[in-house]
Amino acid sequence: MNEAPLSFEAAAFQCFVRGLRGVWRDEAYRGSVEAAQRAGSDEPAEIERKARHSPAYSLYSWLERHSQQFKYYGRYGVVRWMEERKDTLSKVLEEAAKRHPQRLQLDPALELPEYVRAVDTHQHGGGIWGDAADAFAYETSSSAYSFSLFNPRLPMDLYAATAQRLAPQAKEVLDLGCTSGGSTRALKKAFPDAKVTGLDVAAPTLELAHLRSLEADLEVHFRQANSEKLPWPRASVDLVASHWLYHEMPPAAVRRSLTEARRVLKKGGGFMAYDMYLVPGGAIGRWLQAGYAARNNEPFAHTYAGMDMEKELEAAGFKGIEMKIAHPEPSPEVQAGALPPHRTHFMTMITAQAA
Amino acid sequence: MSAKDDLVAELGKLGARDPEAARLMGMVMALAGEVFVLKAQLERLTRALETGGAVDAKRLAAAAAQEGMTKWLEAEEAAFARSLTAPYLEPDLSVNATKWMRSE
Repeated sequence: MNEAPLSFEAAAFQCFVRGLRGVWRDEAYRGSVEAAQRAGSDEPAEIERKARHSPAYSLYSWLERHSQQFKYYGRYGVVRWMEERKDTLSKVLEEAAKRHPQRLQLDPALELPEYVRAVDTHQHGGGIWGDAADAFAYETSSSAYSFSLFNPRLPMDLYAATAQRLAPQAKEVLDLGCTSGGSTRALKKAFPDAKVTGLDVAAPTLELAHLRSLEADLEVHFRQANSEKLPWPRASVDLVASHWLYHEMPPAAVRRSLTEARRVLKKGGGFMAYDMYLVPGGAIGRWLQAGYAARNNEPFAHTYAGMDMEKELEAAGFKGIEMKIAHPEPSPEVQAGALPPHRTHFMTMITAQAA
Repeated sequence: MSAKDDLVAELGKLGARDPEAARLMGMVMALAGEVFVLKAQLERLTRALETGGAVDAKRLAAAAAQEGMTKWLEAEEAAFARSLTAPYLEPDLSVNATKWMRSE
């Protein structure tokens, strides 16, 4: 259901912005890669200093930063659009919260971590935790701009299939950092008899997740909580999953979250994290990824990619650790170390069992 | 300075390397966005009018003379100019979060 459909003009403007993103993804990206190759260095900082004189990289970096701001804050931007309709959207969420209220557990006392409040993630000013307008703006913008995930169903199908393989008999399932609950609903479909709970620190997105689950006629639970301190008893959960979570957390918080995941999991329980982690393309790939982290206000995408997750998971009490680029499926050339022909997010699936 | 800190320092400059170019680029792109919207509106209108057979020169002249058209122009000229120049005045609306790339 679309509670605040964009006007004809706003939708046309968003088409324009998507067109800009297409230039960023294709021509500007390829020119930037060529400039980086000419730099002839295996140090990302040196590549940055040499490539910045390239017109293609100048355009690429400008588009990476500012087309996102156009999307949100241009005259027809999504955040502006939703802000003007905030009262209506708030009422929609309030009404939804009255239906099956036992499925939505909010914690007004929960303190948002500083790394969430301060970062302005995705350049969404005020973030997705503020109010109903922020939640709807996030949902609209994330669904309309998955520039690298050409078929939005594929990652959800992969997420659900991996979960089923990891913990086929799961009865208690957690989905950490669930935002508007798309991944949580995918898990519920995979485990129709299980209690599936999505967690997030942001109340408005959980309210929206609750609304969307009611619309989908799925009995999914949502709870406002920080993955660093899970309100679940020790050894009570069969599967802890997360979807695009850890690249939004600094390393110390990731470590606390892994420790908590292990604490609540039963021995042999499944752990999975679907996120940006492995980066193909050597030094140029790392340079591009760091640039994206800097310019799109996702600084922890940089620090997460720098963590040794195998070591971290072992230290937290996991075994059977596997990780691979899961989506999009890398070509043989990319698997051999080449960069892809288009700018894309390569998503890594990490799986493990509680030791 | 470590290699990691060196990279973050370079990337942390964001648009500061050539701020004038970034401002002008913002204005050009804002203008281009307005043009795109206008083209879409015009295409939609043309299709509607062709379907209904409603357009001729006399009707267009009469519409241009309407008071409502004058008011629209007054409102639009202010909104358009502000939209066009806003990226020059505020070229970067987001916080610079790169210090977090040094998180341990």
